[in-house]
Amino acid sequence: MNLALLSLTLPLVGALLLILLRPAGGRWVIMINLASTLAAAGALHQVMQTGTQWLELGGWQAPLAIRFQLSPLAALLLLFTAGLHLLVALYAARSRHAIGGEDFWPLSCLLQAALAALWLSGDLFNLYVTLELLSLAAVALVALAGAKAYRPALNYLLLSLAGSLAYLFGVALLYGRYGVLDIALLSELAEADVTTRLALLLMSLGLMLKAALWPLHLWLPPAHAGAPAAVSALLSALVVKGPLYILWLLWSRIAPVELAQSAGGLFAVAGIFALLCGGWSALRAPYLKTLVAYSTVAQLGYALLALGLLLRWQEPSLSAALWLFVLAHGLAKVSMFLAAGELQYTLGSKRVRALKGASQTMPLALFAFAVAGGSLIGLPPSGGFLAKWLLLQPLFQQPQHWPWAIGVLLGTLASAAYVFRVVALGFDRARPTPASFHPDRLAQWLAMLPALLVWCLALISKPLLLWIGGVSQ
Amino acid sequence: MTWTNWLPLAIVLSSLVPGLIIFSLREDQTRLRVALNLGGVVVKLALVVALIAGVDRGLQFRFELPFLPGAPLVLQADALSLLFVALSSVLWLATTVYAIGYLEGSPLRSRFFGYFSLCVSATVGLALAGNLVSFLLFYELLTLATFPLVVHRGTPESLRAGRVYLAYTVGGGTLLLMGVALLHGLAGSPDFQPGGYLHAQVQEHDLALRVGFVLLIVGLGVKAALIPLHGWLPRAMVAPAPVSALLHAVAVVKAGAFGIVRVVYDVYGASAAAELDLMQPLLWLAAATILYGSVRALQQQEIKKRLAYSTISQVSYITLGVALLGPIAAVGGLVHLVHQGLMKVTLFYCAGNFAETLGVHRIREMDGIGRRMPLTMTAFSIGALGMIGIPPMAGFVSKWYLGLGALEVGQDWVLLVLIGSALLNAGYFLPLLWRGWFAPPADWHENNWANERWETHWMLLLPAVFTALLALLVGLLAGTALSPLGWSQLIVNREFEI
Amino acid sequence: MSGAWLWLLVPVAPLLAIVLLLALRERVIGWLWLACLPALMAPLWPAEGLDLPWLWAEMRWGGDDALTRAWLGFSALLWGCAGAFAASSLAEDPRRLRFWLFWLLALSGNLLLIIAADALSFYLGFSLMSLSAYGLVVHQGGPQPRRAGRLYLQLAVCGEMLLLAALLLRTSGAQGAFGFESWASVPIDGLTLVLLLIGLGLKAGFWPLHVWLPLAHPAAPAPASAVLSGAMIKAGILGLWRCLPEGDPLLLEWAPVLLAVGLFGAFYAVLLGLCSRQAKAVLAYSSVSQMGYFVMILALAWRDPQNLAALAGVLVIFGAHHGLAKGALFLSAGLSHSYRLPRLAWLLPAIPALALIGAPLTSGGAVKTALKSAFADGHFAAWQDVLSLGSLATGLLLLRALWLMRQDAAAPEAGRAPFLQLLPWALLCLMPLVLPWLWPTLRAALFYSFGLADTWKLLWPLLGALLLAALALRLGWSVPRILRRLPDPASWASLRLKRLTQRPPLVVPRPTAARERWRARERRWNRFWRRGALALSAWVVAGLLWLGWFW
Repeated sequence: MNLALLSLTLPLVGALLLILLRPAGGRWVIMINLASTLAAAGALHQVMQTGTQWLELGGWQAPLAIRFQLSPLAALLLLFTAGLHLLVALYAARSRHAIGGEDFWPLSCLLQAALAALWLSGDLFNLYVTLELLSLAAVALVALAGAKAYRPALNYLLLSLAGSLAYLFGVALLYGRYGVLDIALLSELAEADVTTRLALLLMSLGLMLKAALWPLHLWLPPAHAGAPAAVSALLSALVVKGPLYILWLLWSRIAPVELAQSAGGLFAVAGIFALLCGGWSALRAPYLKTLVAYSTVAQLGYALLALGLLLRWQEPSLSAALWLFVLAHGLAKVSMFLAAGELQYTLGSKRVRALKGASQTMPLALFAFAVAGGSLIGLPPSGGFLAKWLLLQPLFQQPQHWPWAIGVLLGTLASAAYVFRVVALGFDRARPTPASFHPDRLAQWLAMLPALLVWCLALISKPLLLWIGGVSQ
Repeated sequence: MTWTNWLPLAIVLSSLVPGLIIFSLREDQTRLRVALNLGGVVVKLALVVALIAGVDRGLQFRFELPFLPGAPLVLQADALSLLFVALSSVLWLATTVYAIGYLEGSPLRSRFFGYFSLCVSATVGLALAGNLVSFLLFYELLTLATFPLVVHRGTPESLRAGRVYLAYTVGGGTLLLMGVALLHGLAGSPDFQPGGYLHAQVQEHDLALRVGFVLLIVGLGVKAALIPLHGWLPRAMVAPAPVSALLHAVAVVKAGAFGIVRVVYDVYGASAAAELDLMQPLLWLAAATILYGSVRALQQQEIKKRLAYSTISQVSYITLGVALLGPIAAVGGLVHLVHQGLMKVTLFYCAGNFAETLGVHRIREMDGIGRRMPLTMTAFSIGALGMIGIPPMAGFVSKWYLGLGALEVGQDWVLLVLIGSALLNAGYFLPLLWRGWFAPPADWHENNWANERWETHWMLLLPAVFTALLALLVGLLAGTALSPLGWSQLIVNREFEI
Repeated sequence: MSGAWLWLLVPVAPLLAIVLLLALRERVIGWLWLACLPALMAPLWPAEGLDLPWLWAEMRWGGDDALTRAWLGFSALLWGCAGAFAASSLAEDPRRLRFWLFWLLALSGNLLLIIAADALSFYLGFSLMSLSAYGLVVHQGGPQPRRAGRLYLQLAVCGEMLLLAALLLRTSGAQGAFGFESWASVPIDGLTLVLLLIGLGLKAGFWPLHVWLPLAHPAAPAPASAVLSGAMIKAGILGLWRCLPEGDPLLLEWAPVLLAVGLFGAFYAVLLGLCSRQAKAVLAYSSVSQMGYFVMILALAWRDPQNLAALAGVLVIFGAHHGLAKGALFLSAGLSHSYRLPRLAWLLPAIPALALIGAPLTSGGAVKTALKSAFADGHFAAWQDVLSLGSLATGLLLLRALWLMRQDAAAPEAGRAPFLQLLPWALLCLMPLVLPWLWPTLRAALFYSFGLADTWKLLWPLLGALLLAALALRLGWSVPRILRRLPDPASWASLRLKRLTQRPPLVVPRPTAARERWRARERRWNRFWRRGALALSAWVVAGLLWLGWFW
């Protein structure tokens, strides 16, 4: 059996078994995740040796079959998903307060399976299915937090359904027009006519709604802030990236060039707005997790900007920047949410203000938060820096492109502002908030781990770019 | 890979590793912490001596690590980096001793010394950085490592200072990143080299080069405290005295000035910079900073604040020397990199001693302090007179070369700036000396000294006296080949190919 | 190893003495005057100059020229005598350690600037001396010395900076060379000349740059005034002599101006001095007046470069003569103020006074005659008779000084002067009589002045001064009320400057943010968005769809 499929099947089977048998989940899920991670790593290794593979299920040929496509990027994302799940599972097993109940385990497995399937799918309808699965699992996870989270979860559900609907409508239009749904096939057929345009519009709106891209991000902060810490980490780091991946496929593969170019500018502008608005809201947010959630909105702006400029200038090297943003943001955000969860649990308050003196009471968690924040700001040698560097390179090629750099500049400043807002409070020794009980060092170290990983990304930039670049050429 | 590859890395690690270990120490492991600190210092100094000896014999030291696509992380030793490395290592020695004495018995020492070591590692890395991207990396690390030191006291005032510091330096760092990325797009990121590597691009990309220069200089100017980017420096005075010393003399401000030197000489090169007409505005800016900082210093009634504004003024001498674009002025600017560090660090040690021993923070309270703390006051006087530019103190050497350099390139008006600044320096330093030595003493000065051997803790006194002596000696023995002056002349000769 | 190393010892000996002072404290004070010994020996033991490349390339101390040696000799003699005097007179002073510290620093600086053969060493010594002298001026404490010291310091620092600028310009003009020898052939420009004149003139204290002198001298202790007036202010003249090129056309043009300045200063200072009512202030004005003569020598040298060698001789004997005599007079003023002097001892201060007036048989007579002949040889021969008039004015001034000293003399019940003060004082007082016989240069000048006509020219101003003084005493003349308190713009300006530097009128912009208003707006904005994420998102989607339809 193919390793990639193994990495996908393990959590799926695990989720079903967990739901059916109801054992005490933590240990099993960690083992499943570990195996899945190893399988994904093996898949990545394989695909780098052999190049992009097609995985046919059930022996049927395109366009009828469920056909998975294992590109280096998909393998990397597979590994990324599995690895983050493993990290979060480790943390969740340690800090029971951060999961909101035993149901977390099967749901997280389901989430992982949905994501894995999403990365591997090469066909618009498959993608729709995985997307739907993903959203449902995510909504259920949000609702784990209890009654307070029901309303955000409901909003999330409704908007997500609306998004799915729009997406499905778009898929139907395309199918009606071209009669195929396979992306590779579509990319050869697509023309810039009204139907295609409308389909793309509908699908984009739906995906933007699901990925919480500005200006359709309104559901995200309450949902992510309301969810349990481990869930927030998964949602922010992974779930919103799924629709983004589809959006990227849609526009960089299917959309005709002239359409893509005109849409690119809009995406890029939306990205800059996301950076600014998200950054400002994060800066002013009164609650710690709301701050982190808004930071997700802002950081997605980078990805959107990279996507927009990629389309506008048809500059394939920018997709490396896009995916590096995704990876770096994912790692950093996991660290941040876990640290935030640990902080707010130990200090007994959700407010940012409660972090006063955290540098003394919980130095590790605050340090993890700061280090992860450093990557969000884009300080060298973190992954965020690498991504920003790649984004800036084509941007400085021609003088008429320079104004876009101002957007990056402002985004950086905004993210620096909200990260250091938290960090600076941590150094307030005048009236420190005392810890309610003894801080858990191991949990804090687990929160720190992804942050340290993201700071090493630049040092492995060469293989990383090779993996990402494998697909973008 | 031989030892010549690893030595630059080892120099950076010699403070980084102890720093990381110190973080994990408990608060009461004082002995171990002190041993780690001093051990790191000694190892670093030994390595630096080895490096200097090696470079003197013509060996090439270069360490390379893959980092960004097309821009590896390079640490290498050239004459300019050695100047800065030697300065920061020597001053780190003094400041570590001082900080150990200063913080004796205060809380959170592990954290403090951890960041302290990180800060020095970043500075040394920045000095040894072999290309712009590596420089940027260490420049940002320096920002991060310094912030916890600035807010170390944890009072609302220091937090405010810390926020302002971050706002300025992160903003500057971002602009620097932009500039580096822009230049990387134009010419890649080759190693720094005397004479720069952008000369071939001048014709084709003059606009991009100009914009890049402005971005770099603004980014570096924040740390170098050029007006109007100086606002963070006086506020950062709330930090403990060793940190102020570090900020003003060893690490942060110097990093900015050093970066400007690097950019002008080793990235753009003197000839390209001259062709692009970039230097005249920088010169004006430096001159304005010199005068403005001095005038603002006059207004301050707190010792440390006055010293802070004085730094703003004095560091711009370096920029001035670079911006004049003549070999003699360049010598003046470079040598001031070292001289200002020695003098300013002395002044901050002394100010810290006054505050720590007698609780004297304001100038008004200094009356007759020379009788209670004669050695400290002597060191202070040497530093202050040096700042004014009185021979044979170090400051005079810088001023002499800057003045000659300005005349050499025909910018006679700079002489006026130098003289005016010296007068203003006299205006704000001499009253302090007068109060210390001649004013009738306040009655409390006589108390509680009889039963102690020294006027204050020896760990506070020794660094001040040491650096004051250095400030005197480098001015007095300027003619020797290994003096900062001789070294600067060597660097400049390479840059200008004399 | 040769005698050249002695040059190093000259300025370093006082610094070594400082080390001893700090180590041994009280015990060593009585011997500190010995720090001048190397400087006294150096002129007697001619040696080549000493190059000090490890201090600074091109740095050179000492030289075999007569000017350096003679100047060093009389300065060291004066410092030594004054130092011995001070060791006794300040023995009870509570802050004597500080005094000696600054004394030795100033001594080191003064000696260094004399033996300096390059501009940097000169500047080093000059600033060391200027700044350390501040400690001597304000030593006694209290408002008066503080005021005097402030003015002194302000002007000294300004002067130093102007001097630095001038030296930089000179060095730049000489392509980076700063040895005095290499400057001799480098032409000078107007700006540099003005900077040099003001920068060094502030130290030399000739009119109109004399304002600090009459304040500083009375404020300082007597031995300090003695060296200040006798040795230190001459550094300015020495500097001017050394920094300027020989036979420059610009100097030729400026010579008449300088002569006028010197002449006016010589007489104007006398007028001011006559109005003064403090012996030491009168002596200070006398110094200002005498500096006018130094300036005249400079003017002669500028006008007639061919007479340079002769004028150098005049300069050095004039310097020695004035330095020693003025030093003796200041010591007399201090001594008579504190102790009761025997009636016969009052003859001693009369000797330097007579010498300064230019009485025959004294060093003064010799110097005056030499000066006159220098005038006669040059282009300004018409002005030589003014010199006699000048002697008359000087005579009046010094007689007034002696009279004031007598008035100010300590009450009879004061103690007898200690021997350790009397000895150096007496030595200095006798110098105008003795020195011409010891020192060949001066001896030649003395012999030259023995002609009958010359003697008469020397005598009549003295007699005239005596006559006028007697007349004034007889008539009971006193300073008119209106002249007693002369306006003192310098002190006023100094005070203003101090206030200005304490509170510079610079407006600091302080942006004030309207925080409250912004906070309220932000609240409203947040409420607007929070009201319904769902509905708003729906509207946004609808809007985008609508827009997209038209796109």
